[in-house]
Amino acid sequence: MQFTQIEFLLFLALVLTIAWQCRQRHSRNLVLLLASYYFYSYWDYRFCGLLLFSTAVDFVVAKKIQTTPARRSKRCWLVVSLSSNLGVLGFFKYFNFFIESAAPLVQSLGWNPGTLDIILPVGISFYTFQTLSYTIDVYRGKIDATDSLLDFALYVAFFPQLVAGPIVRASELLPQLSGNVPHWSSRRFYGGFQMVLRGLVKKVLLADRLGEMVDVVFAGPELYDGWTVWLAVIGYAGQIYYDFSGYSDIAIGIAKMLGFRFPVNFRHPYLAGSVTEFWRRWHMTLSRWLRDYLYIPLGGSRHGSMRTAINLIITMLLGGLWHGAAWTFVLWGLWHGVALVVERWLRSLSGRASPFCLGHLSTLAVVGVGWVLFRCDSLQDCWLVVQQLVFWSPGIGWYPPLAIAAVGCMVADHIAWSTRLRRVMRLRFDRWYAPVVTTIMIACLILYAPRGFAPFVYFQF
Amino acid sequence: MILRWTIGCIAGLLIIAVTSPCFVRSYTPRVVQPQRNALTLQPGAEYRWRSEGYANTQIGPLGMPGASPPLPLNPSTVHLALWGDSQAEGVCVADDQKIAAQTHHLSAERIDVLPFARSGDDCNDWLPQITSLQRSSIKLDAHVFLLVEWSDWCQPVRQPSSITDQQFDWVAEQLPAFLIQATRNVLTTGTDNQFRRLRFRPGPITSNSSATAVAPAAVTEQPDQWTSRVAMLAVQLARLKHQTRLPCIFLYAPLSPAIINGDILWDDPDDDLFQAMQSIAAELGFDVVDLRHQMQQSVRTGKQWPRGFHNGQFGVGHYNAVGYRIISAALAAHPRLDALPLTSTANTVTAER
Repeated sequence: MQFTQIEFLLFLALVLTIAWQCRQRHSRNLVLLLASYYFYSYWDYRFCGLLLFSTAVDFVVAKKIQTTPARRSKRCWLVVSLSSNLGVLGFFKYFNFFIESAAPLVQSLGWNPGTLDIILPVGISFYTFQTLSYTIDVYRGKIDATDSLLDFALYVAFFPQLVAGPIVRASELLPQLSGNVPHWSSRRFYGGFQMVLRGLVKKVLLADRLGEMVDVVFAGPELYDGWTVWLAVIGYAGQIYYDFSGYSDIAIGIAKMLGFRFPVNFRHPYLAGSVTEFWRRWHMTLSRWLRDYLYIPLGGSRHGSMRTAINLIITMLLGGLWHGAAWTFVLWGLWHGVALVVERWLRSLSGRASPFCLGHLSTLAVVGVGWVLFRCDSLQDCWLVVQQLVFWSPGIGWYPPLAIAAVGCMVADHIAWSTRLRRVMRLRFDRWYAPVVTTIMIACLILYAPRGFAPFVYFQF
Repeated sequence: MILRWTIGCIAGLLIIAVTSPCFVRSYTPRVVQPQRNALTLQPGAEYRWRSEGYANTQIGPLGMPGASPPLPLNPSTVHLALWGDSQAEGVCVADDQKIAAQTHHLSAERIDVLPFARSGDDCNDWLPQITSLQRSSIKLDAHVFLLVEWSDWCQPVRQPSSITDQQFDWVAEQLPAFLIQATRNVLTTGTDNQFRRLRFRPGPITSNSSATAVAPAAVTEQPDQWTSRVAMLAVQLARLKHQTRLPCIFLYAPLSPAIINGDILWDDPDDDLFQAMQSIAAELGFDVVDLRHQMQQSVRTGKQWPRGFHNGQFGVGHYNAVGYRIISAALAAHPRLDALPLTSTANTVTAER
């Protein structure tokens, strides 16, 4: 079930109504858990078993880690959690990738490895990282293992963030689930509603409109002229941002309407003055997950510049691989890893950050090239796009007004957010323009939504 | 606070209503046009198209879209009736770029085209209209058929599809277009305009959804299907021959070249059907003009795509101004029309059933 479907809006209305009728924490959580499993089974009920398995393993393992006094035993239990979670993720997401990548080598030895017809379970990358963070945090002693299987199961499967984040840590959500039933607040409910509405506008009116053009140009970049390919690359930067941040806004908004608080996932990343800052603004919950559970355990920046560089590159490589089982994602991660290393090196030479304009432009260039790698299906396609971007070969000049308008909206949105207009954009309930803009947004969603169904980009990860 | 929100919501709706003509197509009630004996858009109305192309169309006499020639027709010009579906109707382009206007211009105002093409029509709709027109006072010299999709001709014989939907006409007349469009968007699906069916059953979905549908070009036609299409085509062309003694000109402009999944498809997948049609048409004395080469040359040499729009997609969809120019040029230069007008004899032609 996707947030943009009418079915989901009806489902949400029902869940909100029932959830706010429940005055007992236990019954409320049970309702939300059942709703979450229904939400997941709408896609494919067979994979609910996988969700249950992941929940059960980490619930038991965390309890064991908590109760076992010996450090060695704790570590063994942690290994059980890591291997089961990463094993499931590895099988469903990476099995065919590794087999196909190793095929030339294996075939040269006279063996023909086949691939399996594996369906990638929706949201597996997200809920695996959530359950892992829980077990690791319990192992590190940062949080206590929960005694309530219901609370933990809801933490893993909570439908707003189940399939595409934000990656909420146990320390952020579990206390909210195990605490008292939140008090109804019309102000908070309105704030959540506005976030949902904003997310829908981002996804349906901006990302999907841009996607209509981007998909066509990236399918055959050699057919189009340089301007068109440039527009498509900029358009893709907008599409992926509004698609994913739109999803995050809706997820955060729904949680808020239910009385919960989720961490922010995006802070206008294209305003970043450096690649480092970009990663502090883009998919923030993943960035801090990678930082806390990968980069820092690898040694972080504590063992000299060379080791730091290696750690950065490993972290970004694995971050790229997390996004998808393809060499283009690996290269995308590598590209960002190298950019971070070079940026650190340049900063260490000059002793200060580059001027805003220069830093901003270079960041946009690095991110833009990264998006080409991210969007293309193969390295050959990447090369074709880069060729058109650089050499401007003649081709079809296609300049869709709606896509150009959407790019204009993206620029205006970023400028407005960096000024005082940010307050206006919150559409506070008591402001005179709030009902006008709200009505216009709802009407535009109904009237001007593209007529085809476009799933969220991050669902595939 | 409630008052403020009420006023604010009304103000928001007003802004949408005022700006909607820029973005929302119009809904115009249809009327029965007695000379054609068909449902057409109301003469004198303005029709907005805001989807793939972005144009306003003036509905002329007899429900003809575009800058139609004034009635009564000038007796010194050649009068052609243009038949086709939405590809010939041309609501995606401005009136001066439609086939009728461009042909008139390219023929040095020697040819007047009466655009009778209508979206959704096929040969079962055109043939009765041809009969009706021959009984009317409209003097025609020839019939022109823009053949883009074979489904317009490979049809079993049936009654015309035009049925008056009074409810729709009432809605189109009374309600603003943005309200109709909004209702339509909520109630129907985007892909095939079918009524939306909500699904609450858990997945996986096993039905043959659009995601699993095979692209038309990839469908391999069975020999018996091909034979049946040719047979239907032969029947319909024979009906046409039976219906009129006026010269009939077929302009063949299929959906190629096309851009499908990032590749340019130059070949016409229905070439064998076209060959069959050519031989049937030759037997019946119809002229067939093959425009495929001109369309391909336009792309190869001029990099101008005859189909598609900036706010749609090039290489797919409806013909644009470039495509219509190619079609109009071929029509204006057609040798059969040099011997016309023959309005004195054409006037006396009646249908034989």
